[in-house]
Amino acid sequence: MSVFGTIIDRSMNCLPDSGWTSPPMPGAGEDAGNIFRRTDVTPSVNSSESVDDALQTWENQALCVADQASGRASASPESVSALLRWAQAEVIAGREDMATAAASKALDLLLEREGQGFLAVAAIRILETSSSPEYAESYLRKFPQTDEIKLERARLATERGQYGEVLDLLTVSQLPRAHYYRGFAHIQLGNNAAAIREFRSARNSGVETAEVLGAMAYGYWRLGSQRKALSAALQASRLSPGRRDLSLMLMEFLFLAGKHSVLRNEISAVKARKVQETADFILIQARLAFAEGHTSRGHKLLRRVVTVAEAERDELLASEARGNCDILDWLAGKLSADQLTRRLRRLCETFPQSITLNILLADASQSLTIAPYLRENFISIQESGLAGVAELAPLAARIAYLECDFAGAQVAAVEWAKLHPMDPDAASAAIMMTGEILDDWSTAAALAVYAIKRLPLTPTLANNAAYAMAFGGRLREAEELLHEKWQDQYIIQATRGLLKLVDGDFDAGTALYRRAAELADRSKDGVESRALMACHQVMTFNRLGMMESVEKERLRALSLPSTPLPDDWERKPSFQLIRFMAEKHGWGWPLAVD
Amino acid sequence: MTQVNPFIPILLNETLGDYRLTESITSDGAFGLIFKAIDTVANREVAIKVLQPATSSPEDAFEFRREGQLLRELAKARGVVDIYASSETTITVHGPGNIPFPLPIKYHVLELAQGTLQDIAEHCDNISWAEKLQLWRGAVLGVHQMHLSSIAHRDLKTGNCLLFSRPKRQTDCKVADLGRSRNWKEPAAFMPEIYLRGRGDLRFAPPEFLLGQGREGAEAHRLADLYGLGSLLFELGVGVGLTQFVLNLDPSGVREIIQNANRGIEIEPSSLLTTYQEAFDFFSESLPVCIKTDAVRLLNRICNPCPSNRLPVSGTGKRGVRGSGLEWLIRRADIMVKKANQNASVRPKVAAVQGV
Repeated sequence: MSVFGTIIDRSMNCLPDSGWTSPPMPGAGEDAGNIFRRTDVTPSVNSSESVDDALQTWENQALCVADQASGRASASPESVSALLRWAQAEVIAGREDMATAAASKALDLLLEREGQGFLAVAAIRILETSSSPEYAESYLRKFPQTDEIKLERARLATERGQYGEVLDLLTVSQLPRAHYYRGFAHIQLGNNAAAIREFRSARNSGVETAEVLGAMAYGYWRLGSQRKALSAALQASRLSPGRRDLSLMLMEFLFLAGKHSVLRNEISAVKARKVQETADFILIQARLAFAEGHTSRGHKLLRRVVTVAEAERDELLASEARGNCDILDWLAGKLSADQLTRRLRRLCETFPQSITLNILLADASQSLTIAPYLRENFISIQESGLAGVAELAPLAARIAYLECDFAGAQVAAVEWAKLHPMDPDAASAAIMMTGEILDDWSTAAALAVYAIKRLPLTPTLANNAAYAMAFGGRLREAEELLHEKWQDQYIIQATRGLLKLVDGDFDAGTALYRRAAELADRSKDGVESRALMACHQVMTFNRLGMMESVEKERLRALSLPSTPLPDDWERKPSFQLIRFMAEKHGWGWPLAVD
Repeated sequence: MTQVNPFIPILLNETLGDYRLTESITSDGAFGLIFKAIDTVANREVAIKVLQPATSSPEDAFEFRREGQLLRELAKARGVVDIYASSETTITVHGPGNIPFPLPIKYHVLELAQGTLQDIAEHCDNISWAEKLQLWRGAVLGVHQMHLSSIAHRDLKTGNCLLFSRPKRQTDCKVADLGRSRNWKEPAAFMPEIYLRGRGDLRFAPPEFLLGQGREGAEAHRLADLYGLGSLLFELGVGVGLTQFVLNLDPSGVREIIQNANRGIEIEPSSLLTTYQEAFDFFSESLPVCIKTDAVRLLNRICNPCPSNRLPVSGTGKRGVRGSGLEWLIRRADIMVKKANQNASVRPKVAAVQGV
């Protein structure tokens, strides 16, 4: 049984995501990094002419234009437009001081006049580039606080990540774009339903841009409305097919929704446009390959992600992909468990604020000893403000579990599932922790039914859901979950055995446990898995009252032989959890048939 | 701050053929110097555009010659500035030590304007929208007539549109400065990177050309000019350049564009849709309610960063948008002018009533 999924699942589910973890920023289309680049284009600049030569020619012309604009501004010293045109020309020419002086002068003139405040927006945009957003903001505060000025201040606050201020500034504004900024602020603060309301208002007011739709998709996804999220993401991507972030968001949603064939088509369509394959685009292809069981192809793609990310100077993504490659190497027997943990630790030390690397390390080590290090990283990420509560939720649940704070882990797992309603790992953890820790199997079963209706069925989700449903009085539904294609996984076999035991078929149940034990022996961590399974079997006997109802001799003969606990069991949260349960229910520790 | 071009004092008061240069109109220019002059034969004032002597490149000389040729082709187009003559002469200039040397001069004789649309853009708050739209309509007409002759302007900005006073306090706006123009039926003289090599003003350039992604062909040129006309309207409303407002380019941004263009990497212009919409929202603040919806909708269309979306798909009347002309845009301009005029005629009455 697994709470957080096996490390095999990790190789496909814990790859870094493809950049959808935040909604598209307002104005993100300006950022060339968010744009797909086509590669089927003939160079339009004479290749014999160096970039520096071209730039020099261009700069001379830009300076000439700026001088002309300066002359015109001097001739009309009271003309705000002449000053702004001059400032624009100076920005292009790279004379930031001159641009700042011209834009500031225009703002000073505007402050003396009435009815032209809206022109301040043009000056502010110039100052943002030529000086600093803070300087621009200080000017905006001097103007009468009209809706337009407040909206511009809200835009600057959004760029600074001060979402509370955005909401304060736009409390009563009914400008179409105000709805959008308010929605964006709400979504960043985790108020998804309020965000959706604002985005709807923005659309009704005519602001139907790809970014609004993308942010809406993000909000719907966070609310668990898969269909609406996919529909909005699809519209956003079609409205602005060049936006890489929106296209990747759609692909990510399709992947997480288990719509693999649609995702394949989407990937093909993007490739057909001859776009430059970026690391995150290759990453989604790798994840799809793993999800469809094409491990070798996935591994190749993952290695390409490392290479391309390095070429893009995205060292973080390269390291996260490298961490996953290490896991695949461990699975292939090329690395020992110790080597794997050491490598992941090294990567984590380079990028301590990578949530993905911390999760990989947590899952690979499965040891109490790593918990303080992870906690330290967690606090550092939290304090840096680099990630919100939602992004940190999967790590929070894992760390609480590794610290053997099982009550805390249960709360964190439920929170994780709430914040990531479309994440099968989150649902798996919430189901199992609610059942085990709270001993509330009916709630756990209800969570399981909810999850399996909405989420793609991973082996871990199927296993945990079946486990909870069996104890929650939904045995027949549980039986249907454990798919034939996972029969080679010992955890699934053990849970099938459990279902038989719950059904009262002691012989068939114990036979399946024995079959699972054989499979476990062949697994990488065979000794530990077998010991864990033996403990689970006895825990099940206790939970079903079989220790009393079944004859001791029969129990002893058909159950798994007792296996000694591994030497380091005290450092293993999986064993500590069983001890916690055993002590709570008075089953004795270590658990044994005798 | 601005240095006076050294040729201006040399040429001022010189006589070129039948024309005596009396006043410098611009202090500087890309490759031409403009003077007010007296046509001593016809006894009228004209404008003389002189190719910068000695310092102009062969490309400048080519463009100067072609401008004259295109203006003659467009002689009957009332939306395009009139050319009276093109000629060459040699004047004697005295160098250091008072040594005389000959200076060859090439010039065009043009009708004399009373100002440029840039003057209006720089004082956009003082002029009514009805007047601005009427002037803009003149520019649209000029480009329409150019397109009918298969000529693309390729450098539309308020500084390149001239104003002419007419009787009854009417002002005409005509398209001028055809240095970057070309007849699309003739082979291209330069590649689209022309915009990246300092041949246009980046504040107003269509994004596809600015990003080094311009295409050859009549359609691409027409669509680029359509953007230019939208950019003119934006300038008339808020005074600043649309493209620079959206892209906020500085030298590092330009370097990246040139590098990408060098590598053949293309950026999809649809990615800029949202930022363009922000610019249109900003523009809408300058508009009176009566034309706000029409003007913003129109700008959304003709300044769409995706060139293929710049033509309307419906509502263009019986003749639609097929063919090379811009009749549909002239009709839109007329409708807006009418609405703005009605609004202007209503307002004073309201004010008078309030005054009473």
